[in-house]
Amino acid sequence: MERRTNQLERLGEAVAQTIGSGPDELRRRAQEQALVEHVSARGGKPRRRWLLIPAAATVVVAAVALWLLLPRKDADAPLAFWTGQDLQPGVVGKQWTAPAGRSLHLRFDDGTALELEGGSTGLVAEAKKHRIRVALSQGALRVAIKDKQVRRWIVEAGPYRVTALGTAFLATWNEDRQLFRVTVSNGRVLVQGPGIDRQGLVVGPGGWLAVDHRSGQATFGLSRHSRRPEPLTTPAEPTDPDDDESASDQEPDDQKSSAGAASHLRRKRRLRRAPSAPGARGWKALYDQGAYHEAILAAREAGYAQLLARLSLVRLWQLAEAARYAGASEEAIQALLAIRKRFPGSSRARTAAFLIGRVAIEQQRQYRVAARWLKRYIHESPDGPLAEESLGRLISAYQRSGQRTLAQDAARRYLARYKDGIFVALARSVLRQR
Amino acid sequence: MQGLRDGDAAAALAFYRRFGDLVNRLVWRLLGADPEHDDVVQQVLIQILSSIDKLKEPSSLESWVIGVTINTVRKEIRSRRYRRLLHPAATTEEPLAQDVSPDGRLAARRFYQVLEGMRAEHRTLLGLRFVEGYTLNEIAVYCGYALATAKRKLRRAEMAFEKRARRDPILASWIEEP
Repeated sequence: MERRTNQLERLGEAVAQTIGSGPDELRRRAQEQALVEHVSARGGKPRRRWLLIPAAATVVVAAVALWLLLPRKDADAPLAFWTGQDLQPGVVGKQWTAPAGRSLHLRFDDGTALELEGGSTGLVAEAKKHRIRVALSQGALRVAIKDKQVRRWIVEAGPYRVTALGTAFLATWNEDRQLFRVTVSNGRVLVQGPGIDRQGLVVGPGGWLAVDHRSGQATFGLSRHSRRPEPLTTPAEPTDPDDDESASDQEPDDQKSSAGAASHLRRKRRLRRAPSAPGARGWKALYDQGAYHEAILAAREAGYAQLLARLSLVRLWQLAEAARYAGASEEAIQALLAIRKRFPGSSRARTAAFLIGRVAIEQQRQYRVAARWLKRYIHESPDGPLAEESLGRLISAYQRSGQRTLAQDAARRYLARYKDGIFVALARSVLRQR
Repeated sequence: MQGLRDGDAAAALAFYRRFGDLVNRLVWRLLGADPEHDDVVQQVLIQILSSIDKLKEPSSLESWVIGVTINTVRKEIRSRRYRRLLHPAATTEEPLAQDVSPDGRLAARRFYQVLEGMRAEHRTLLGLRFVEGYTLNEIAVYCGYALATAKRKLRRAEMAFEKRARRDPILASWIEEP
């Protein structure tokens, strides 16, 4: 029995290693998109399934009939909009330039207002009932979305795409200097584009993100003068016993904000739900929400160095993840170094070496530093799960830092060990170079 | 949690970012690089969102997500039995990644072929224990079994798998004594 179990474990490990952990990022993005669309379409009505059962058949029949009669017509129906003070009907695809010193206003049928600031140029590329796409080719565009549940709002500012998840924000694009910036005053936006992790970056209320397209350098922060954010989720997560930083992460003005609320209803809502400003939630709660850059802001407010000194291994790992996903490379490396220093014998300490190498390559472009850390991982875990990837990336790091001999040496070692590996093409191309 | 209950798209996004990897990995490993993987993941996510009200204890969210995933996969396996009667070619195999050793690819392919003919319960138990690497205690919690029940069911699943695997020369070489 014991023997059989061991053999099955060995087989299971081989199977797990072979099939990996799931489909690629592209498919996951599609899943994410499908889920958000499903939830947006469903809305937030409380359900009484047992009451709905008798009505379900009727609804299904009606829906099928409608679908057959009006295939996709509704979703593709145009959304009207008007421009200027005299409310001229808007034309999709027509480019507008706001006169210097004066804003140009666009108003959509659903109440959403766009303000193209003086001297800025942009156009409405698509205006359908379920999707509106605005392209900003130069300048600043202020957006205040009304009906966040139904429509998907996309602002393309240069090569950057801002997807609004229900929101008021300001997007700017400086074509000459290739600088992008988004400042969110309310709700959340998803930003995608060069210099940002492929998954995109969610910028929350009061947050801003700036990217220099030429250098790929992304910076972000929290605007002190922003409006109080809209609540997003309940704070009712119990304190994690392992979360020893939770108390110190709380922002003291939490009570003040609710006391200052204008109406009883608003006060009631604020008491029921928590604000999601970074300092108020604690970095771990924000990490759990997937708001990584806010988690890092909150961690900074709580004292990043102190967190590094006292967090448990698991929490440190999560902090490093948050920093990596937020593109905060310095903080990511600090957290990974803290793992190596404080938990030297752990497998995560070994993996941290690989991750430092990866951050150095992808986010800092410090190829020599990356090479040192990747070598360290290979030395510490020659048969580890990331050994192949480390050696493959080592070839790349040597190549990009101009160390051709070392790159070729790594390539030979790679080909000798991983004949069918994923870096075979890179290794061969490096060896072909003379 | 409240955001999910209210049907908030941003909360759904946050939820996916927290649990998307876990759900994907579980479905992927239980069904094995399946061509309908994305549909099953979508089913799991919708199932979770539509039954979020049933979760009484927010701190057990992760266990609950795992439990719903396992149940949904199990239902999917069962429903495929019926679908196969109508559409025999409905479950074609998605090619496995090329960046792994041929031995591993072959073993994985045969492993899932053998599982294909097994009961949904045995199949999920074997996947959870040996591919995903859960302990018996974890399996008991996620599947809602008593520990002794989980142990007994897993032993039966192992025996059923071994019986079939011995007929396959590739798998036999993995499970026989060296």
